Amino acid sequence: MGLKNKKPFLYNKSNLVSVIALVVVFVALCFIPVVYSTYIIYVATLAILYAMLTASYDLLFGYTGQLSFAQAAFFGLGAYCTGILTVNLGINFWLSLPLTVIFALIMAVIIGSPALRLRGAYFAVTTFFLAHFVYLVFLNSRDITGGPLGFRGITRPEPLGPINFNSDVVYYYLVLLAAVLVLLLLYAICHRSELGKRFIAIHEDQDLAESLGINTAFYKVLSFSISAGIAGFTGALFAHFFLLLHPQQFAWFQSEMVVIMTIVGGAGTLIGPVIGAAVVTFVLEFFRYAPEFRFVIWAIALIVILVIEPKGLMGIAKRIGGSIGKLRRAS
Amino acid sequence: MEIYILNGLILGSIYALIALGLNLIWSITDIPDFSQGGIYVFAAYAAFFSVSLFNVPGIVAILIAALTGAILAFCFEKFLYRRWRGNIPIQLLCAIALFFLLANLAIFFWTAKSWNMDHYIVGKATIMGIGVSYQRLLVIAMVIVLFVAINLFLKRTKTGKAIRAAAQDLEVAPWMGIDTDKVFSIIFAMGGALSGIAAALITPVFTVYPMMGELPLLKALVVVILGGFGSVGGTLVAGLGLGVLESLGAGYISSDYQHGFAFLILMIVLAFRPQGLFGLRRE
Amino acid sequence: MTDILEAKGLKKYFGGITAVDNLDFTIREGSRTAIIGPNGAGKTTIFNIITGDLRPSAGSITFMGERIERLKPSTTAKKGIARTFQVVRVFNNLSIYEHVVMGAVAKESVFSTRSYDNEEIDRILELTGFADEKDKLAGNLTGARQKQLCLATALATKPKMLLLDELMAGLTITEINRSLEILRKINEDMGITLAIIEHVMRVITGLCEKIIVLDHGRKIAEGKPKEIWENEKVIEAYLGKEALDHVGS
Ligand SMILES: Nc1ncnc2c1ncn2[C@@H]1O[C@H](COP(=O)(O)OP(=O)(O)OP(=O)(O)O)[C@@H](O)[C@H]1O
Ligand SMILES: [Mg+2]
Repeated sequence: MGLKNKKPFLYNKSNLVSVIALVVVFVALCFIPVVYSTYIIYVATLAILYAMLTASYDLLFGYTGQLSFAQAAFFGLGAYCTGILTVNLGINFWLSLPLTVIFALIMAVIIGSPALRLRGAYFAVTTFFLAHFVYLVFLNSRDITGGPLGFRGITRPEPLGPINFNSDVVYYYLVLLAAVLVLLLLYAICHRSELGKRFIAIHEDQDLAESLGINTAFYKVLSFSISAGIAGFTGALFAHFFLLLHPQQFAWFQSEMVVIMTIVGGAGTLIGPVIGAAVVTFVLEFFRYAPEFRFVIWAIALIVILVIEPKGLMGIAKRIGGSIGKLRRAS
Repeated sequence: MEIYILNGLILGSIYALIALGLNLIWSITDIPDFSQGGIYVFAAYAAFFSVSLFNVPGIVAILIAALTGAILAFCFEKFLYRRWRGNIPIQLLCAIALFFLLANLAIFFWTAKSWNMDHYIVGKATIMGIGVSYQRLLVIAMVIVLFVAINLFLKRTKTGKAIRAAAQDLEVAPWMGIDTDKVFSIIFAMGGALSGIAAALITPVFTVYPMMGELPLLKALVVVILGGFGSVGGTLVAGLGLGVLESLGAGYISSDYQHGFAFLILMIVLAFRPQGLFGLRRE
Repeated sequence: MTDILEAKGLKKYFGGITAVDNLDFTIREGSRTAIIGPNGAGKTTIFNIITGDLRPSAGSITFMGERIERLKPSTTAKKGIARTFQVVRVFNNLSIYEHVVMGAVAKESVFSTRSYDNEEIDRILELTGFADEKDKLAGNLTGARQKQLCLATALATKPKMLLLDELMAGLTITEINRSLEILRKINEDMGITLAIIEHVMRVITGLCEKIIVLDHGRKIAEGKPKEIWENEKVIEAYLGKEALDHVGS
């Protein structure tokens, strides 16, 4: 759009810095399996999966402005869907993956169409119920999901030619690759397309957007569905990584955690939530031997962040950047 | 059949009581105050400890629970929500974080174990051939008394009228000489007290445990939406109705999904009447 | 000339309040029509019904031969109705340029391969005086400039009819004069029908050929500016309270 007014992307200094930083992080992530133990690889895989989930949520919350508490429900729907497809129906993982995404998309349209007629807090509260309902389905459909005993029997993906995913290291690279693709997709939608502008417009003022001729109901459902589709995709990758599914992994407080990760990093920045997910995952792992305590810390941390800077780590970074800039200009 | 209805009424009156506080808070301040779910837990423990450690009479235990709830809710509003007035997503997040914090603090302090508590009044009555403990009857009686009292308070007293005026239009309220900060404080303290009383009333019937607030909170939120914002009567009807439906559903359809009925009913109602069953949604 | 819009038996209740009460009126294609009335007369409500932000409790609205009272705002926008809001609304984090482009492409599906006329965008930016600051964020503009931006954005949707809700409120004399000039151009050069809610009398008298006067949701008078100011009902219901203050200021 308006190409004649746009300078090439990398001419902008802050864009250039971001791209360089991201490339450095990516290269560093590529070397994790070379340097660190299996435990760190395990935590890093989880962190990347949560980063994908959180980034998908940022599209809905940070960009489109719809506060939802059901992201982990779609994550769970994806996980159980691929579990059922591959274990019970014996479908190949590489076929099951796109089927899972389609399933998540369909569920999102079915649920999102009525729910998104509600605005703001009413929508948020409804998604909260939704998350709880999905959790109950996971817990109580014992014949299909295994209920509280968990869903067992999931295996790693079938080999692709010479690449065998039974090794955690190889699976780590698969997840990393998927994350890069998902982030590029989200970046293209949010920052490089007219679609992203419409999402932002709906976030800023739904009535104004509607008055210009934008079918806000459609675009809200679209945003909800893309977000849920990616969550389902991530859930499938999670299922074939963790291999054991339990309803608790997708309960309402997991959705809450996605929101927290997004806010901690800084909603509406895409990169912030990714950082937030990584930080929160590693911090939580650090407290894994004191589970009660870690939830307490986590809740307090969220409140403290809200009090200090509702824009999260990215907001704090910006503030620091701003004051450094000021100092420089002053001297 | 009768037993399901009776159990449903007891459960429903607890939903209604929590929902009443939530409704007042939500309709006036626009905050769906999830922290009430955590306040409910702390109030339940307060009642439990005051009875089991200090042997206080039931009425004192209920008052202690009410006070605990009122103080917590008052502080949350004064020191937290007030910072972000008008920014509902942040307030909602903070409320959920508080709910989560209180439940996990309860695990941290008192472990995840659940405790039984003695009934405030011992004994049983027989109604239509069913034995019902006095404790259960006390729940229904207290809830009805409280609903009537709150209704009178809102309609008859000066403070109540100010609250209703504020509910009509928060922006105009200051021009009518109404101190909105004060109204907010009163509303939250009241909401907290109602949740506290609900917790103290129901705990002897069931048990005390850290996650006890989750389901009542969810149901109460459904009741608020179904009952209509700002509607005291609608809240009572919706609360009792949901309790009975759930109880019948659990008895005759499937107890696994007892807690899913609320969500299904909500979705069906919202699909046809986005403004709730009774009354208008504020725009 | 034909009527572009016709309202018949329009009613709107809010709970117990009757905001619009059995109203009939028409707006001629290409005309400049003012809707005036004291605070709470129901003016904004009428705009909201026309655009589809509100459903009428009864009555019909016909726009270019088509019934539109059950359509949602994005659909009426696609049919050619654009509006500005009484309380300024802009997308704070989008630039001025992005606003106008958004207006220009909003009616089309985001998936269709669309192209928009860059010159058209520049013309609108020029007309509304934004040519030099088009990369500024809307949130950083003054209130008066934001109102101007609302107009530019609405204009970019290439409407057939433009509804302006108190566009001049809070502007200085110079700004009002500039806006008047812009509105004339919009109407005369671009052929867009204007419906204007305004409290500033000078704007109405100078600009509009027809005035509709509302009070308590009812039409109490209709006609040329001169006739209106001589109408006793109007003087009683309206001039006595509101307008004299405005004229005085
Ligand atoms: N969404 C709403 N809910 C309830 N009442 C409303 C709503 N919108 C408007 N009203 C009421 O309808 C009546 C007409 O309002 P409206 O905004 O149309 O007046 P107006 O003529 O535009 O006044 P003003 O000059 O102050 O803008 C008023 O009494 C107002 O309080
Ligand atoms: Mg108005």
